[in-house]
Amino acid sequence: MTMLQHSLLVLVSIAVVFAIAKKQKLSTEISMLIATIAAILVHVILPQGEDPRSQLPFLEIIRHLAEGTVTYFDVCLVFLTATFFMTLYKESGGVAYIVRQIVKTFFRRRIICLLLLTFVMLVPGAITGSGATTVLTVGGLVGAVLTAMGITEDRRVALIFILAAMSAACPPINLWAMMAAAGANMPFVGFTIPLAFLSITGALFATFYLAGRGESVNLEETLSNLPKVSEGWSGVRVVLPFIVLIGLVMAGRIWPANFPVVGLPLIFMISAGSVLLVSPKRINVFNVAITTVTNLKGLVGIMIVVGILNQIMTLTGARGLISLAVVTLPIGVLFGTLWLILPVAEGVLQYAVAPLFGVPLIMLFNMLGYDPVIALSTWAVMLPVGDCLPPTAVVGRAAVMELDYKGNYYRGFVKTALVPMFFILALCTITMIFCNEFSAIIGG
Amino acid sequence: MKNMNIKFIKVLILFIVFCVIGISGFLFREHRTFKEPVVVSEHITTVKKLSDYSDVVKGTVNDCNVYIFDSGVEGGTMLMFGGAHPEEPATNLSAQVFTENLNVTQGKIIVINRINISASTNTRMGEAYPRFFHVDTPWGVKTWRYGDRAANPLDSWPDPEVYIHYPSGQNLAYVDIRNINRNWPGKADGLLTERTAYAVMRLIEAEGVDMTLDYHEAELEYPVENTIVTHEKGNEVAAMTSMLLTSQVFDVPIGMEFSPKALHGLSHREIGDYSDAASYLVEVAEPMLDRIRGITDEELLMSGKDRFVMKAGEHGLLYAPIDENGWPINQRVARHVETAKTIMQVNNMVRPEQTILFDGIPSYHEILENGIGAYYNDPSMANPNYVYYD
Amino acid sequence: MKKLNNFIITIIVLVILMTMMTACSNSTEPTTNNTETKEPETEEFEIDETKADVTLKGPYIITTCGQSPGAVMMNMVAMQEGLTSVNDNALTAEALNTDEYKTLIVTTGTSMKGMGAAGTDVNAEIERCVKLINTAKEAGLTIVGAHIEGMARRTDSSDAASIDAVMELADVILIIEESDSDGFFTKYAEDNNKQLIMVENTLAISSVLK
Repeated sequence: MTMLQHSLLVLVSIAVVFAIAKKQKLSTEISMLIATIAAILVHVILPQGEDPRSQLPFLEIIRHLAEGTVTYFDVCLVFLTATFFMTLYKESGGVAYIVRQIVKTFFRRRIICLLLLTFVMLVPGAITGSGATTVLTVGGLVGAVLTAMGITEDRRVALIFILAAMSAACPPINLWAMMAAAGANMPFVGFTIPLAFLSITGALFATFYLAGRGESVNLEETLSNLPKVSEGWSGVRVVLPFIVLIGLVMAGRIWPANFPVVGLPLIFMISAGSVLLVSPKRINVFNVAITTVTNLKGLVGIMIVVGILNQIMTLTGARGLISLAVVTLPIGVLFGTLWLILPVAEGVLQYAVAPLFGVPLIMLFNMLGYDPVIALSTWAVMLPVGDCLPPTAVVGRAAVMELDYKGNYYRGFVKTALVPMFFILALCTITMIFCNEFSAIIGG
Repeated sequence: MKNMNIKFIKVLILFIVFCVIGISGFLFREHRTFKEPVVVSEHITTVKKLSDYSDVVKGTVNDCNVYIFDSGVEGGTMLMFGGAHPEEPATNLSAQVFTENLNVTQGKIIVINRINISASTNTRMGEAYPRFFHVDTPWGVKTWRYGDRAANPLDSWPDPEVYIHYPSGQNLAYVDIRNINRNWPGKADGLLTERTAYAVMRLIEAEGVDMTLDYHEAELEYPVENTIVTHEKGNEVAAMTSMLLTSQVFDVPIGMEFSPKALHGLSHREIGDYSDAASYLVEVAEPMLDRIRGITDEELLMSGKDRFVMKAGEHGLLYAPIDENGWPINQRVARHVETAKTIMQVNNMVRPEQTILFDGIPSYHEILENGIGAYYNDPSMANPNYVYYD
Repeated sequence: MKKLNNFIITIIVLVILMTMMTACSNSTEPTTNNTETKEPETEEFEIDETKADVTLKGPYIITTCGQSPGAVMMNMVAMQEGLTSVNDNALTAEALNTDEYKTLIVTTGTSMKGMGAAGTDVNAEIERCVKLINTAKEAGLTIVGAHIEGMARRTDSSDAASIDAVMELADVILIIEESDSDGFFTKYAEDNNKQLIMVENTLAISSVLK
């Protein structure tokens, strides 16, 4: 048996066992875990074949499984702390106050309101690199405003998802581009313009396509439907937690040599502390913490399982086979299929896709004379579009959860998001094909 | 009944989870606390700690051993270090060949086997690396820790959202704040690896180092492969070394690259810029690092044989040749050791005032013939005064 | 919804399997030159004859088109021979003092360390070298296009671009055997009626310098 056959069989076993487990109505997380365990069993059982390989003791298998669980430990912590911060903020009545103010102020100025909402959605992901963080921090707030603007439920959740995906892609922090650039020894320089162009264009298109038109709204009726605001809120109080949050993030950027490295989880917890300080009403912090963890069980669970899957696929050669398959495609086929391959792979492996595909693709494109910075920027904007795809669907699920969406995930939400998704993918593909020309235009 | 079943399943899962935590915790600890014995050459002058040069690493895991071979005869000073990226085993193995066999008769050679010890105390998450690797020696099997590219998060955490290199201000990926080869010239009050680089810079100043050599390995897909990367101060020496080795010694040529001025934090750029030393970095092919690799295990790490990487070669996607013979560890270490020796020998010609003379180090062909295991001493039979732990 | 979910997962599996199959097949059109080191097919070349016929006369001015270290190596070899040679990797047409030199040597192949913002702008390099060569030609200098770093500098499109630009304008092509592992330069010299000097390795370049 060749190594290629071995890894292919492992891959097939993952797909088959996952499909069977789903058929048995097990959850996505459990199904993926069972498929991963099946993969390791197949790996151990299959005969060695023509190439020598090391023994894999049982205890080492256990270690690999455990190591995989912490691959996305940091990301999970950010999810948990960001959600805790925003849940506290919501409980304190801050969200209701802001939504009320926005609706009152921009009642007759829809375009300005939409531009403002797009900006608000882009900021958290742009500074943290995480689309889920965007949804979990401001998704609910923006969703509430969109409701007040008369946007339908499907369009609302679709827009929140797309804007969150674009916020993750938006500079200054794009984790896919950063990780791939690090793997290829490229400094993270020159990405701002291409990433900003692609992500902001995509975000604006989605905003005006999905929310440009809506039913006309009766101000009084809308305000009466919005949650009541507790006494004691003011403009200063309501922005203070966000000033703390953005201030701590920006301080690290403005004074990198003097400001201590705080880390996003602690920044969110400090910001949560500031919510408690400014909140005019007492909040049961323990209950909020429980609600946060309960709500995020699925998201954190999937990140843990994807980490294990990634580890086992690497161990068994299955991950290498996928990567090899992609980079050995003829360049014409790559141009024609990356728009599909990248989001699908993101749906399966999350951030692990960046080093897996990003690094070999950078090498390949550089070798062929394509501008690696522009090319990587296009992939780094295409990837988060896949965050609504199974099996992980991290940002899609977060949007559904945050907006309390009751419709059908695929026929309602994903179908509604398809046009802006295809627009973004097409824009990125065209930019990728003409990356050298694009680079010349922006002076890169 | 159904409730009982669910409860039983929950308890069972909890039990399994605790077992997994217990077993893996034990294995992680074993890896983190494993000590690598080093039987230093009898010609060693002194063994210092990095903290002897700067307090900023005192009490940290990165307070590494600094092995000093001083002839007492006036000449040049070379600092070589391995283990910048502990996922590249030929680096610390090459350094240790010097540590265990060197005899300097003019000038001074300083060796650090593991410059970022913290990064060798865990493996890279998601990469399914083995925890240890082994080398056959005439007296038994010798074991080393296999590691990550970046310091252990247990020693340096959290990371910033983006790593802003000091002092250039260049933006790099957040994880690179734990990658010592993105931290040069270091920062006294920075995070662990920044402080480590800072302390090594103080060592370079204090010992009057004339040239530094940073050992590395690279994936075959990466353009900078089988080469010497040099600061402009070392252009002549690196060029002549490359020509000599390619023409007369190596089967696969060794190239040369200029250190780019716009890529910051790397040893070949910053050490040269921020000290009097000429800085060199050498790369050799390690198929284990390629993302397109097949089964990930110690066999691949040590033999350097991989069908998938070969397949990529057939498609013209690699910057180094590979065939059924792979890139075995003996060849990788032999290239590094020979390159280090040649750099010093060429430097003797180009800058006679920096002459370093030494013996005891095997040649490229001797290492290929005898295997690297022949050049590591048995710690159980050695004089305990000569045994140190990295 | 379940059906749709299963449908999407089926598509994912199909995409993966299709890409696998592509990987399993051998590419009929390799995208670039393979970097594998091959035994030089020396019987095709008349090395001794070229060595005997041609020598290059100094003083030399040496630069690189692509910021690879070949120019430094060439300069080292010339200096070892005690010849007058200057290496300037940023030499421009305006800065060239044509009275001081008899031969301009431009080495080709691009530097690979660092991509993106840290990389070499090969187009700017070509522009600089083409102007330089034209100025040197007008002043009567012999132009040597050199490729002396082997197949490692013939891997990507940047390497090819620098080689094409310089060799087209060169009077003489100077290479080492490994650079011509696939016979590219031999054919190029024949097709374009250029004089070719091929030596065994970089150290052997000294045999054609005077």
